Amino acid sequence: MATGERPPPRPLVIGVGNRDRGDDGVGPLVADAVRGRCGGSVLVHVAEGDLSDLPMRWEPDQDVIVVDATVGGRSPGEVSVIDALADGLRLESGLLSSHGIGLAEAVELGRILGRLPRSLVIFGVEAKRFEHFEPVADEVASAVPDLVERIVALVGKAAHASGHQRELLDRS
Amino acid sequence: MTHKNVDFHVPVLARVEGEGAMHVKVADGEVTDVRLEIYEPPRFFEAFLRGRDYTEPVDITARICGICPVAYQMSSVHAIERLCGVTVAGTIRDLRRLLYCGEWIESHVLHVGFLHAPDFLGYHSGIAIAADHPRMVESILTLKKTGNDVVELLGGRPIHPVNVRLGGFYRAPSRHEFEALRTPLEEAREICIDLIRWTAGFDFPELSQDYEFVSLRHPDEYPFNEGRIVSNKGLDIDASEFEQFSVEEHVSHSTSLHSRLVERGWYHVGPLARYANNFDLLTTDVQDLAAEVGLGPVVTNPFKSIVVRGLETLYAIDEALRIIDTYTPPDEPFVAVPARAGVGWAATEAPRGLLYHRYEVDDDGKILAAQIIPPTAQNQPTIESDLRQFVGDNLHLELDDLELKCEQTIRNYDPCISCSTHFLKLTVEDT
Repeated sequence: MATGERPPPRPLVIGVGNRDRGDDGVGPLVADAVRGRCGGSVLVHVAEGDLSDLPMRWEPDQDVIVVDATVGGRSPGEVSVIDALADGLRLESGLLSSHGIGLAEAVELGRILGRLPRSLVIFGVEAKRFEHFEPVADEVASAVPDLVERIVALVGKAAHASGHQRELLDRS
Repeated sequence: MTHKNVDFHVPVLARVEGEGAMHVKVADGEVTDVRLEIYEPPRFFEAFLRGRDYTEPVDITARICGICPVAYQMSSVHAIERLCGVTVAGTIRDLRRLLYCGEWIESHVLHVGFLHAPDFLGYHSGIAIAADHPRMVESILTLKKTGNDVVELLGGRPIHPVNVRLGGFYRAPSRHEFEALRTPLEEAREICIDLIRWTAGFDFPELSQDYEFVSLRHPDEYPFNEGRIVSNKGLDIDASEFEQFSVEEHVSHSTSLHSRLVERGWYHVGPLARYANNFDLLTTDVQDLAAEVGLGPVVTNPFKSIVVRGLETLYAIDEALRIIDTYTPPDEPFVAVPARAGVGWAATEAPRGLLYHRYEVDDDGKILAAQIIPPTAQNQPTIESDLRQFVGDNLHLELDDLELKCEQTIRNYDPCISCSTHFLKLTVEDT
């Protein structure tokens, strides 16, 4: 690294969801666990509501992993992986409120603004229930340890490497 | 041509918080019916509070709104502390203002950039603006992030803060933690000035009424948490008197109550009201910028509320920097608030306007009754009055344009419909 050159940013793990709405809390749950495992070697952000500022939270040369709950007709706890840069996200918000934007809109906003990270992998954990103040369902919670291990391994071994995005996907 | 007959029904309003519709009818050139129809189900928060401990409203009422939870927390803690005979001063009082600064920044900027600006620029959303105005949208997102970060540091998280309690906070951040906010706030200040100048260049439709502007007024500072409830037409009361002067009424087309001032009628709360009643308390920089962009000390065109929100955002940034500059962590992050029986009242300034709370508590510290009057409920009759006048004055517009501008007339107030439908009003008739 040349003198005065900015060091590459640490990988960023973003947990999306509301901790007080059942399985929607799985994203923050995974983010907390990654923070506990990785300490300061990884940046962790929990996004519990509006995601509009996500494009300003990541850097163009950063590797970013997002964990969010999904509703896609799969078995609760099943993990899906999306390469948001290669595959994109369908721009369909499930939000009733227009005072907030969702993950797909945030990624689209980042794309329009030219503010996408160099890799953006989204892990979706299929949810079962979203009741107020319910804990994460057992089937969903049981997926967390393996997912945390995958994320820890990915950010640890492949951080900042060229072609990191492909490697993340190939290994997941 | 001037239309003689118009019948608009917009079943789902876009770019407002919550679920509402708009109906406008003109017959033979006369506006015969104007309704802001709110059909979001009532949420019964005042009933939920009955029987709960006096320490709980700070967390329960925050759930009324994901955009302005700080406002609900502040009105509830001030009302209950007043009931308990406790006054919070010094650094903790400053921290409460700082928390409110964060909420004003994030809420105002979201509305200015993503909900209101599209109306003036001809886009359907803030995301659509980004393609043609990327640097400005990036600025808006940066400002939003700065507001979120202030609330997150002090409140524990950016939405529904968990660090607020009666008497203060569970934890007061260190000076070092606040220092991390300084550079982003200083950058946000410059961005905000650009944003204000940008919005001031929009084309504003003509609309002006003889509003009664109602807001808090504090002798020394632009109001967030404290002050008397005043108006530009002579109202000057303590929060404890508010329900004697303001009444809430059911209307058939809204699940939200409508507020009126007794013997005075509809009134206007929010940025234009605060600005008109407290212009002299803004910083010189904000006053000068207002003059530069062509605003006097009173703005009566609600379409220009987008500029006033920007000016209030700049004030909030400056106030946040002032508080951080002078911050020394308190010895204790809260003062004790022992329970006692009684009634307590408070009004604070939510981003959308005056937010009133009243609580009655028994000897055991249990809540017997709660009353919450949010800003959007107070503004509903005013919004309908604006619609009536705007439509009457603009029947020459193309119908599509008129309909869009009617929606914009509603969005001038940044209505939070979800907040406005929190109520419970139960009438029991003897048979």
